[in-house]
Amino acid sequence: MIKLKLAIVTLVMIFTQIGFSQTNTVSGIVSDESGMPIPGVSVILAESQKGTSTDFDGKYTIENLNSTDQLLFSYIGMTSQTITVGGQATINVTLVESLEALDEIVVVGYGVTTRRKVTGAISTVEADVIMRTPVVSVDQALQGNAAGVTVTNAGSPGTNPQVQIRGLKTFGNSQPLFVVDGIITGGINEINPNDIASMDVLKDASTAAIYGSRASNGVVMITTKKGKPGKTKVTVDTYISSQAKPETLDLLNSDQFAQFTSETFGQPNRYTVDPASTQLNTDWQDQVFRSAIMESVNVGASGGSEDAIFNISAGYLDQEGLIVSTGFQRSTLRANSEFKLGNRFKIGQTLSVADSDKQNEQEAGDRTLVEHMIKSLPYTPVYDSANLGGYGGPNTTLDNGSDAENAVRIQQLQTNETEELKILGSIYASYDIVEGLNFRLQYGFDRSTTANNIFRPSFNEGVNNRPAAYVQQGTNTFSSDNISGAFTYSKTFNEAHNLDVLFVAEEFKSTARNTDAQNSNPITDAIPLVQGTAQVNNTLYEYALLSYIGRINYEYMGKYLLAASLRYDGSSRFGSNNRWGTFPAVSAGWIISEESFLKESNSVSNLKLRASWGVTGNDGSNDYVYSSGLVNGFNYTGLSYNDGWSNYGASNPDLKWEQSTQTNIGLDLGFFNNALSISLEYYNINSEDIIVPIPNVASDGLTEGFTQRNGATATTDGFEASIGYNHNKGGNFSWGASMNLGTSKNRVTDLGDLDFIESSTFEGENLQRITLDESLYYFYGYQTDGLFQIGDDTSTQPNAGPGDIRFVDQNNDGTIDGDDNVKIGDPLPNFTYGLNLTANYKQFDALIFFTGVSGNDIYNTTLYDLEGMTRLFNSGTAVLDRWTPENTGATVPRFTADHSDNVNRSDRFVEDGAYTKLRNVTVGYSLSDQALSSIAKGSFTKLRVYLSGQNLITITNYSGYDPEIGGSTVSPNQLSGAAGIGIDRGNYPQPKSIILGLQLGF
Amino acid sequence: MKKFKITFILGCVACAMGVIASCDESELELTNPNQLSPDTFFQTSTQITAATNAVYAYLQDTGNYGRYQFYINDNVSGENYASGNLEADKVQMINRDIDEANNGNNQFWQQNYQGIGRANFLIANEDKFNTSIQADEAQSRLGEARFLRGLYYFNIVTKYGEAPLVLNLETFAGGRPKSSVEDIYNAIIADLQFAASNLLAKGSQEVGRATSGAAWALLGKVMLQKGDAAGAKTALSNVTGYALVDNYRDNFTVANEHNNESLFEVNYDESTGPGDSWNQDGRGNSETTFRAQEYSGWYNVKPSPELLNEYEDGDTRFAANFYSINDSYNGTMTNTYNNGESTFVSGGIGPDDNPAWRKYQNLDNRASETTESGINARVIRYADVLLMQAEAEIRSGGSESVALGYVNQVRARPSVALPAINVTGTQAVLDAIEHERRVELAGEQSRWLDLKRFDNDTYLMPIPNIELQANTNL
Repeated sequence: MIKLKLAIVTLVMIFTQIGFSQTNTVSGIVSDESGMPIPGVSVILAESQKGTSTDFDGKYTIENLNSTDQLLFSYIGMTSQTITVGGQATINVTLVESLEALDEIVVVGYGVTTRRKVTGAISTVEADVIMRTPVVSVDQALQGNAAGVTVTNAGSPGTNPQVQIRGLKTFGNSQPLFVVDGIITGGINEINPNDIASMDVLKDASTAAIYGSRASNGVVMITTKKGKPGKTKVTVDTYISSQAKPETLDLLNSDQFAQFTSETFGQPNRYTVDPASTQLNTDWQDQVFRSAIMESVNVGASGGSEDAIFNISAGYLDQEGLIVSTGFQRSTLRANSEFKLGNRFKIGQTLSVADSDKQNEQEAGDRTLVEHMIKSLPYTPVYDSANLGGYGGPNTTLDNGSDAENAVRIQQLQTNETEELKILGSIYASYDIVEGLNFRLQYGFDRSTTANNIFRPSFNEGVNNRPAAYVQQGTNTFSSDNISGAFTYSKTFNEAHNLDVLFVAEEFKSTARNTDAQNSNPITDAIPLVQGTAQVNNTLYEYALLSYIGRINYEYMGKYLLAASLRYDGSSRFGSNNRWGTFPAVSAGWIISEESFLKESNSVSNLKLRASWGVTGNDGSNDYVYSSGLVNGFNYTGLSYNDGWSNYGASNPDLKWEQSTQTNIGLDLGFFNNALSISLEYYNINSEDIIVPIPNVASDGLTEGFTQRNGATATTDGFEASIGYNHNKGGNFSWGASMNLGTSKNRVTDLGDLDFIESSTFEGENLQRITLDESLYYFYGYQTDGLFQIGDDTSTQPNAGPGDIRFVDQNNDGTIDGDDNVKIGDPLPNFTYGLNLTANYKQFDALIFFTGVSGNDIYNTTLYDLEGMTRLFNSGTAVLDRWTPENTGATVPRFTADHSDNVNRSDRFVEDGAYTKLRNVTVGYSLSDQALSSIAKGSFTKLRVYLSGQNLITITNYSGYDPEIGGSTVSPNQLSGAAGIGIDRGNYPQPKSIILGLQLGF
Repeated sequence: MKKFKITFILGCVACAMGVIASCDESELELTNPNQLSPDTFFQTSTQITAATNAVYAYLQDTGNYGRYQFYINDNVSGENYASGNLEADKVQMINRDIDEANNGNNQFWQQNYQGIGRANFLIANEDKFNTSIQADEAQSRLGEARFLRGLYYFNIVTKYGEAPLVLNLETFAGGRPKSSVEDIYNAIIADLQFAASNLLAKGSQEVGRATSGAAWALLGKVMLQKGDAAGAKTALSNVTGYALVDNYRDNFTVANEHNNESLFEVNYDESTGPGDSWNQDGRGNSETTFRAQEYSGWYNVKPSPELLNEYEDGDTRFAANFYSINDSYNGTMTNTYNNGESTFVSGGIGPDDNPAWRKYQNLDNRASETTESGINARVIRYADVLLMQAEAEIRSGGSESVALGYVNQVRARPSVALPAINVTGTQAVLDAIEHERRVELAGEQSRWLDLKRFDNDTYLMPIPNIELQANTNL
């Protein structure tokens, strides 16, 4: 930081003119845009190095100045200003936050650095960007704002989005590591986005490798807001949002349904027995979906003195979901503080408490709520007071076996709530032992208790009924403790060599206990609790990680950068033969613009070339996977004691972490004083020892079919680009544009002896596969080639007739069979992008924000429900236009009683998943300083109102509710990780919403 | 003073680092608290008994006596013919063109090897037995496990020939290669010799568990099959304390399980219900067999004409083993016919009027079969031992009259009461033994092995896909 100031001073010395006339004294206050005084601003007389800095109240005084003198006001993170003294005695300065990324503080593992010194690939998202678009969870704010970070939101309130950094690299755990204020944490859904100061995404190996065995999916460093010395600042931030009912699918109404069934399954008995009831016309989508309100209030106070700073805040969020009886409420409290004791000793803490309550979207009988909703018969009523429970549904004798459950009943009569209390905190002490040498000791903890309460009272809506109430209560307690001691040493030698050294020893332990109790209560529906005899299951999982970390950063002449780090990790998750791993990284940077030939350039303000290489690991498998326990139940009848216990699976003491080797090359460009900035990255990741379920050899006599072994390799590569332009030439109008995009392409390069791995079961078929030389989790099935017409040769498909789907005989053997299944789609986008346009005119501000993905496919099982005609269910109106001998131009196949071939997994259900969303459009108005001072005796420092629209426009060819498929409910089968990605099983759509917000500062 | 302060601070720092660094590797050695670990098992009698019980469990499963043990043996040997109902994999058995994908082949392989795996779990962990476990008890349990491992390997070696030989718990990268037939036989013989010396005799042993008599009998059977008639003769001479029961039918009913003639049975219990019978992991209540439903409930197979023709006129074992038109059923079990409540009439005996299996059926005492039969499978009974003794005697160059004496004991059973055979010449005596085995042991999974000994049958099943797909060393 000192060096930075010196550099600025030097620059100023070069560019400012020398002149003397009369002398005077100048004083004033330096404040930020919100009017808060800034202490510690450097105020320097340009060519003399003479200067001072602002005091606690932002005040300064400088004597003996000539009118031609120029004062340079500079502060880290702010744009420096040079002001000619002239005849002024008072010069008040407002510093605006620096738009140059060059000097931006960047949080890295176990420390901070500046953007200039970064040699790896780090994307930073600052608080102002996070706050620009109201988000419920922190990671949502990464969407479209960080190149190469793919965020897929889920519409269900309180559900975390899926985050992938640089695409998918493994079949296993693909979740990035989240580090909050230096503390590794299990989840971040309980963190209030309002409390975030910045998020730094460590994307390449050289920056992430410092987190060793847990870093191969990238690391998201979250820094919460700290106070600044100065007057106490109070902020109030509140909004109310109206979320619109989603657009509906075209389903059959009662008349259409009658027509459809009379031509196909035969009309249900209801049409003859009780024709009056068929006149009812229930719009199930209208009953299940609703418009909904979301409210949020956040209050914060921050401030402090030179010796003590604090930031406290409280927040409350209440979001109703678009599906009835879904919602999310969260209360958060945060207190961060830091104290100096003398010049060398500093202690501080962070603490957040969050309490949330989530009303979940419920599934029933392996079908999603949306699936039940689509399949529900239009003439069945939502409510029927004659039925136990009060809800209507298909009737056993009247509706010929139709069995969709009443989705409104599932949501309203039944309860499925998740309550979570989470406490995340840390305490640290830092001591400067001698100049340049610091020791920091930090203890962090993460405690959470999650209760999942399920209550299903008895009901009878006909085909579907529950004779006795069912209660299930699950409680999960998670606790992790993290203690680390870190030495840092920083020294500059001969004004040319700058050295930073870090050594850390760290221990991490976590314990997860789960208790699950369930029983039925045939006596009453009045007690939603598990009481008396119950089936109880109790589990305990522990995890421990020991680490030693070293890092050296070397800088020569402010233009040549070198860094190297090494982490040595021991993890309890791996077998005794491979418990310890080494994760090295090296990187280099060349700030070309600091070279003499560019230094004077008017146009090129920054040019930097970066390269890095490193190794990271992924130990995100489950605990104890390497071991294999005993199981019972090998009963043998006829003996006095007849239970049998024995071994089950194979232990694998050789199990080790997946290991990723990543190379990154980056180029930073800045033009016109960095008004235009460009960052380009190329990366290549080779993931080895990916953990795969390898079939056990039968002759080894094991009962479990698979053992988790390191058995596959995959590569991922891609480009990232971030381009920003800020037009701020003074005056009333300024604007900026920033765009980022990331590409990612992966390929399996080794699968050992396995021919394939299957996953994601739907209707008895596995929709996704992993095979050699293909991208991960591609969709697998038949390629279709239109419909058979009358007279066509159907010899390849003996069961087919005119109007049935023709599958492509890939191997030309004259028969359609399993061998003709091929890759029919790719769920992973080729690239993801974000585009931000911002503008300010006088007191108005505006934002337009687009995000999107391209090149991905979606397997739309909703289409299966709408057009499959598999059983007597309601369908989409498209079935009215199905193939018939009179309607041979149809795209929907004919109806056949034996539907099985037409709904085989095939590209019939695969759709283009690309979309561009207008994620946000906002117009805001802030009162001017003048206006502020005229109200409430000038106690307000900020008053901004804004109107914002979210997800108003989605440009896509996708036919389902929402092409953003966040979280899948298909059975992953043998795999975990990202299995199921891109399969729409009746996905909860994201709301379109209008937000009215108010931001106040005191 | 200042120096002291720095030293103090450095001391504190070193202390703090020490706390972290002192977490040695043992902190990483977490054992799964949710499951019992093999490292802490074998501490009590009950635990050792439990590990022993698990070895038996795979005899009951569908790959063994629950289903495929009888289909594979009886179909391949020509004792059965396929009625129109028979599924393709079992038809392959009749046609002797079993392929690698054959379901029965896969299950038979997998479940015999899983039985071996359960046995290995006990045998290979002997060093972990708590010292408080009595040596007798430990040896007896190990004897059971080794008896069963010998039996499972005998199933493997006689059906597949060369095969992987797994005698410990180590997994072998890519799977083990095949071992020679001789090596497998030697392992079986070693197991059975240990079992014979360490198991309790019938009467002392808990009913249902392997006994020393069973181990000697199985050892004799194995040696005969291997071609060591003298060894077989010695082994079989140790089988004492058994006798033929008067009524031949009493060997195939629930009421007379573990009778004097029985050396080893696979236990079933109808009262456990359908439960987990289709499971193939040895676990749960898979305590019933599909035999009765498959053979004369669905009449998927029927006894072949060749088998039926083998019976002499007046051999009551024909009626004891097969239902024919006009036979009584659904009444009390007697050897007199046409006096029961019902009789088989045309159409009531499956898809054709040919005789159907009565052995191991329940129709004598109820109206219809179900998929849950509780009749124990008799793996070795004393009649088999006598006929093996006859064969061992003659094949080891012994006395023809001694050999025929054994055969005639079987023919003299009160309910059978056939005249004694009196032939001369080694081949004639062998023919008499083969005939007697065919009719006495029909449908008891003996014939295929007999064909190998008497008729040079060399047919083997191919090692199935379940092994080939994962084992890269075959």
